[in-house]
Amino acid sequence: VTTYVYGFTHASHRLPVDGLVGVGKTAAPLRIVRQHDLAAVVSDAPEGLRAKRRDLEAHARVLETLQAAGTVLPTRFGTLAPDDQAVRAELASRATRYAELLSRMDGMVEINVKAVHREDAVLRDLLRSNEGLRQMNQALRAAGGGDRQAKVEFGEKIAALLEVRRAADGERVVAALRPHASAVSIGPPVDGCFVNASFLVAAPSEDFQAALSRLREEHAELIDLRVYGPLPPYSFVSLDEAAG
Amino acid sequence: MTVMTQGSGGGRSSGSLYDVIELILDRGLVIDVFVRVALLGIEVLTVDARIVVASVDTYLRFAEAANRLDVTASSTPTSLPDLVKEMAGERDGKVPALDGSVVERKGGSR
Repeated sequence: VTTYVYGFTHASHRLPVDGLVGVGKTAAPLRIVRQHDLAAVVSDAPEGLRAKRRDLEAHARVLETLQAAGTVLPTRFGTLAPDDQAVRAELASRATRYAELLSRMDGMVEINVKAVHREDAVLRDLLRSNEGLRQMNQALRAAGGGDRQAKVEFGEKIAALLEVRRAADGERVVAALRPHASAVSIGPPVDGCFVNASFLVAAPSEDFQAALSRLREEHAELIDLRVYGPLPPYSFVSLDEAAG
Repeated sequence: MTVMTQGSGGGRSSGSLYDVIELILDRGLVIDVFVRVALLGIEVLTVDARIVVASVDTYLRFAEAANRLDVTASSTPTSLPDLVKEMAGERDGKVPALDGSVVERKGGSR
């Protein structure tokens, strides 16, 4: 049986794993693997593990529970060690690096921010600020929508302008929050968002929250700001020195 | 802890899982001596999102959405749309189904 690894903590972590359910159909109980000052939270790995909602949830829930009670270095979903002994060996061989990462993450949380333009509002804004676009729109309206070719050309022009707008607004959002975080990690534009950024902030992060509220108020009509957290520091744990 | 997840009533709803799925799948500590199960990558979803943005269908949709707006030259351009009162609709609703396995990528572990 291989070992599924959820994350690493200080050995002094309270480790409230009783009653927590791990990945897999049978929801294997969690175990603690200790090595000197470090601990790993693991379980037996289920056969044929895949990215099922149930297992993603289990992985996230274990890490969030650990995070709420102390510092945790989350491992990426689906990490498997040959056995518990291999986990112990890994903790031993990189003990200094893990201790260092843990101390850097002490008291820190990840907050993920996604920003999406409210489509009608941003289109209206584009039309207002661009006379050529406005005229094209009026002409198409007058022609009852225009033919397909004209519509595609018009829409393509909008898409290009929207892309510029997304980049500019994205920079603005990140710039407003960056001063209140100790690190930023920019993610891919999933699900149509123009900002997908994770911020590492010291809990309880009042400054950051205040900056978020200001942003939300200032741009309420234009931008839908979605905030997720506090999360375990998924985006800020790397064994690569340069990235850490 | 304060859960400030927006729009899901707080807590870990399936909606919020979807919204942070790329963190769970594509971030987190990678330990080179351990294996990682071959799964989907969120990159599949990301690529998909880009394709959608740059498609004729999207252009047509933008054109039609703009046509619905009566913005005339008399409505002076402003830096922010202070006149906009109607709420823009919810986003597309283009949320990949997350029931059961997500997206399976063929091939071995990476």
